[in-house]
Amino acid sequence: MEALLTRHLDPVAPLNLVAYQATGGYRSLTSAFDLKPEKIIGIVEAANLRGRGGAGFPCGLKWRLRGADAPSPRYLICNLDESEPGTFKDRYLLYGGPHQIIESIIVSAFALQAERAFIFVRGEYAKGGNALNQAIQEAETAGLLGTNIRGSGFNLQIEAHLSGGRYICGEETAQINAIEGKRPNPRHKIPRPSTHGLWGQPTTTNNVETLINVPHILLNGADWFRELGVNGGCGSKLFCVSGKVKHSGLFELPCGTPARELIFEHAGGLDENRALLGFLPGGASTAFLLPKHLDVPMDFDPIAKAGSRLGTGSIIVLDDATCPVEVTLNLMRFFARESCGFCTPCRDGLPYLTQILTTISSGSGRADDLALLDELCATIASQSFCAFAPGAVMPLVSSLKCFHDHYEHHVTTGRCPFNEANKNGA
Amino acid sequence: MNKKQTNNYTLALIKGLGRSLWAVLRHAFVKRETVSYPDIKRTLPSRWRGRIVLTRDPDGEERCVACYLCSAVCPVDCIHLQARQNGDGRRYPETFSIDFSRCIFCGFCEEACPTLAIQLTPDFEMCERHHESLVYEKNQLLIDGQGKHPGYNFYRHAGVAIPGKAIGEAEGDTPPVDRDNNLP
Amino acid sequence: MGKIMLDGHAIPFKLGDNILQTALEANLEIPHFCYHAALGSLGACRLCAVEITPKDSGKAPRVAMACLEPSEDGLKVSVSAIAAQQVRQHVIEFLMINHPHDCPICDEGGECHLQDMTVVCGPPYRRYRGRKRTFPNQDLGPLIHHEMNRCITCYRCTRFYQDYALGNDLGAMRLRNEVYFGRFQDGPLENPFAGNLVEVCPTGVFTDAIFRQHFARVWDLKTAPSICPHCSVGCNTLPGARDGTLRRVRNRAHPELNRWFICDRGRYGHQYSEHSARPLAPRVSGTDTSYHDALNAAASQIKSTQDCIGGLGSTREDLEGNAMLQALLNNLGGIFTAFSDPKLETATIAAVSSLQNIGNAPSLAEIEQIDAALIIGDLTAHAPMIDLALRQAYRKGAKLAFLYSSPTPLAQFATTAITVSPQEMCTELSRLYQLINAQSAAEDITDTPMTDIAASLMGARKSLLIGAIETMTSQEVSTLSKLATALGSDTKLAYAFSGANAYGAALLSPTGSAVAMLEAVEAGQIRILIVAGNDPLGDSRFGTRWRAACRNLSALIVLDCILTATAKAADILFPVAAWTERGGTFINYEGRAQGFATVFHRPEYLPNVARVITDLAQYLGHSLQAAPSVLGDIFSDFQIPKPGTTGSLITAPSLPMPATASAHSIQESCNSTWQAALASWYGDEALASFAPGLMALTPKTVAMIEPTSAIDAGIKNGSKIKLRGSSGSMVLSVRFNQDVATGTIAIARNVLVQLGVGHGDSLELEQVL
Repeated sequence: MEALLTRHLDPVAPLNLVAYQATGGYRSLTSAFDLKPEKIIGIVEAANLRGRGGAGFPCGLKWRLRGADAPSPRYLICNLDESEPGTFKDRYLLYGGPHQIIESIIVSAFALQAERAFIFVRGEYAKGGNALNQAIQEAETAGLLGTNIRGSGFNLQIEAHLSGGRYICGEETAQINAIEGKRPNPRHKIPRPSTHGLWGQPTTTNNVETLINVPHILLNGADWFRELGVNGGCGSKLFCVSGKVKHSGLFELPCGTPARELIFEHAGGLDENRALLGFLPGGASTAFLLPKHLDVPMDFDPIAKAGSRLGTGSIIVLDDATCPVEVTLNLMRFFARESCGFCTPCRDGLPYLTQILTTISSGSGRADDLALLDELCATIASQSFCAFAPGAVMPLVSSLKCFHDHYEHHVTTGRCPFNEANKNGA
Repeated sequence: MNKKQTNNYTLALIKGLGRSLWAVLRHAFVKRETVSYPDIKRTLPSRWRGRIVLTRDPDGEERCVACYLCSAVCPVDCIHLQARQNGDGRRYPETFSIDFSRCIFCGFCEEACPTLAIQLTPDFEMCERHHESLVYEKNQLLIDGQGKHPGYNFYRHAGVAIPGKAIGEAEGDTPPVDRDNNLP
Repeated sequence: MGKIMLDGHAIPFKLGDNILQTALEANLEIPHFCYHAALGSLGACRLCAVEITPKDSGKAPRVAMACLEPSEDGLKVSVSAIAAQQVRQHVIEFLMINHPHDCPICDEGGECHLQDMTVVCGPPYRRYRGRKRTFPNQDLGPLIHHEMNRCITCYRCTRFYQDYALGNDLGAMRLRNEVYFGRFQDGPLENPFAGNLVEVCPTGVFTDAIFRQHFARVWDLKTAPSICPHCSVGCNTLPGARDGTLRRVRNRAHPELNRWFICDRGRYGHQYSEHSARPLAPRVSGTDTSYHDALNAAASQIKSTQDCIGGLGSTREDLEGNAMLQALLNNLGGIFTAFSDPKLETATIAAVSSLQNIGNAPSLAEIEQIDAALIIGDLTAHAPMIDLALRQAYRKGAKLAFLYSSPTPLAQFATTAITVSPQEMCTELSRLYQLINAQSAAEDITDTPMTDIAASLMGARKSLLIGAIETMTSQEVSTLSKLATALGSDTKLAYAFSGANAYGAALLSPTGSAVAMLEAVEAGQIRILIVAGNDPLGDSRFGTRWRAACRNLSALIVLDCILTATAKAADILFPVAAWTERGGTFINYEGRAQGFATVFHRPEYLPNVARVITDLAQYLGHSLQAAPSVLGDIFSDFQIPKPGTTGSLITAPSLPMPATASAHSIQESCNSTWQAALASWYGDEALASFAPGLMALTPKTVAMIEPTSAIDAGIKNGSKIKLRGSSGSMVLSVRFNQDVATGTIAIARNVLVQLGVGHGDSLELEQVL
């Protein structure tokens, strides 16, 4: 398919304002300002644009539920804190085309009638953040930001906020705390951030990939957007493929493309003589899928029905020479390290799981360790303060189910069935 | 009673008496259990609840950390102590006294002690002429050995730092976190 | 409104309360850690898991956190449900993974919330086979011991320290299971309420370092309800003693005063009763003697004299002691006063009089509800818990205005802060009064800070005018009370008095009795002076005169529990019980009479002042009524308040407002351009000055001068100057400070005493090369 979101991206030399406008950039502002904000929300809702940050919540519905009578000042936060393992799509968007991001924020903020927008950039993307700041300056100079943009009567200020680091800053309420200058612990969801968010004001947070679809939807219509997808999916999606494939990378394809096509066609398939063991469809905090799921369309609802989550659409591929216990341990180590430390099940429970997995992986696991893992995961997943811990235990719970034999082998024989010579690999 | 019955009765009486006398006489020649204390002293098992001592750990320091559990559990309130820290932060009993005229040698203090410091020994030879002498102070309680439970040093398992063991060096501990560094 | 069903029992709830609050109000414990009544719900520990059965019968019961679920009428909640128990057990298991094997050597053992919750909810065995993470500890000063390994990351310490007490040098660092609570650098905690960390922390991370020096388990401590003797707020405390020594002081909740917290002066000032120099045996002419012999000596002195006797009580002596001394003096035809400082006497009586006219001072709980306040002087030093109450009001948006001569920590929260030299304070207050009186509807566009203060006070729903009595004159007091009347009934008036029983002392001292006493001693009309709990020879403003006057005495009889300058100079010294060794009554700043009970007895015989006076009277051949009767005669319907109750406002005859012309202020020398101001701090109090732990935090003794005044006089920051007063001089380093009034030198109490000047008196300055 013809690239839509990645068409004009160049991480080496991203387009400046003039060049971007020459490709048709910022046209969507005209379309947006001609419509009433509620109408824009209706179009986005009709396009069935689902959130691309991991939760998959319908964007139009989120905007509509905030309510048009939200008191001023209202804030829009563009979530560019991409920390999910296996996900690098937002980095490409940031480094490749900051103006696309700015344009999408202007029209989205207009729909929400938000006077200030923040782009929360992952700390490690500091160079991209600098380029973004330059682009914002360009836009301000050109009158695309500030007061009475293009005579519409709409005022908007955008600020790029560079994160101080760590995964939890990607959580909506933790991000709000971080922007306020506090420790990025998540907040209790009552009241919701849509009514009492940043500094107690109505705040809407969207992933950057979600937002950059909005200008295209406005220019071409909701029906067009829906028809871009295949197998029931809507729009264009950025898929990251990594792991045991020949050509890992970022691929823009219709939403609903099956994993088989992504892995074997676009990413070049697995190495010689290797077969697929399983894959994570949407980044680290999703459940494993097996070869039998290769033909499930990579779309939110079909993947959910298959028992996992589309998440960020970042596929991590395991082949039959990869120990799934090692992979799971690697992920659990990451999640235990990234816990913010607020609530007990996540802060102390994830290292506990990691410790048990380490003993299993190194061959000193005991017979009742697997049941113990299940028992602890149940409490950690259901009784934590935010959605980080449930996501963190998802790969563990699913790998215990999908790869139970591998775990048994580790426990009963005290060795890894794959890497007899190299059991600490992966 | 008629004469026949009387005779039977007498016979039974004599028979019974004879049996008893024979049993008594037999016992005159059976081996004695009685031990001629104090010439011969019986060896008591180590769990025999006698005189209380305060023991030391394998490193030679006193085990008692003045946690007050023994005095709390004592059913007759015969243990009195006062805790103190030395300059290095190691807690020990400044004073420790047991009133043996109250002590009932129940062994609850030994069971309660978390550091295996206080132990009951199979020694009962504690008679004194004066009541006050039955109140033992720490110098009369502290022994040089490890008592019945060798090999245990509580401070090797606790989290606090003492001379020779910094924070993070206890059994099962990892080195202390660097609080000034936010990196993974 | 309504009731929730908690395991089958119907429990009523207040609108807006969550399930945990509802249960705790009904005295039912749902296991919890991070919730605290003063700090609110957090939802971090996840221990308060309960099973909720939704009203919609189609939905399955769910486990939720009781501290975050609002109570609803008819809500079915179960604490004992298996699912909730399982969650709690896992949470405790997780918390105990890294918890060190410290219980035997941990001070918290026996009153440790973690111990209790582990026994109630936790697993009885340890499954975790990994290693524990450990933390280094910090030196947080002489008052708090830090053992970070024991932390269960409930966040209570940082929520109390930063959110409640508005401190900023303790916080959370790092993340995940390595969250570290401490200061950025080692050093004493700066907040005057840091000691509450000891009670707020549910484990043994923060423990009382003074208690640790002479430790005892909580189950061995003798306790009794007591009242803090270190300031006029009258916080309720629970001292703990063992083996005839006082070990520690903790908070005891009073619903209107201190509910959860006390200040560090109250928590650590108790060391005065264990001080090595504390008088424990009666002394006659420098020789230790028996109580009987000392009484005989005193009685014979009194019987042999033809002159008058004087009885000097104290604002820190209890009501019974002061009243009995007054009764004795009445019997002997002598003079009684409770004040050695005439200026303090008139200011205190003026304050009590105005409170009696205008209305009682608000309680701490009421102060937290105000939305504007005017604060005169340094509240943090004179009534720290009122400072804490005002911080709560500030958190809710109250506008605080300050008029002060020397630095006060509370002014960092000021909306408007004006430095005023002591001699100008009355003029400034009169200006404010005129502004408010003339204001009515007119809007002043001059927009000076003073008009801002006037506007905020007049626009407030509930406002407070409060001053620190020790640094106020009676004119300032009467102006402040006129201001309160002008502002109307929504404005409350309060004073931070000097001494735990200053209000009571004022009720017993006739106006002018202090100056009459001093002048009588100076004139040789009084030759025998009985001093109970007072230190005239160590006074700053009048010490010089008292020291001179007392040389005329034939007998100086002192009753005290600390070795003050007066006690050292005593001819006959009676050591008396400290406030934890006796029962008595204090009247606090509200006029609330509260009783305190004897916590323990020392091996030595240490009676209270009332007892000594009664015995002395007997040796003199008089017989006094018992204290309750004496007090009953002075105050109508007076019942000695029962310790452990909330106390009640005293009914007393109205005191007349003293005449505002102060005949006894020291004439200022017109040559001097400098005036002295008291630079105090929260540990600065007569009894607490004998507490070594607290005194280790005394600020460095310097002369603080406002920069422009100093520069105009050619004085450089850090240079040395010599200050001279009526009785001495001292060389000090200069430190520039913006929070000092112009033309004013802010110096510590001990400097004022050495110089022989009081707050507002002139002094001479010369530079030292």
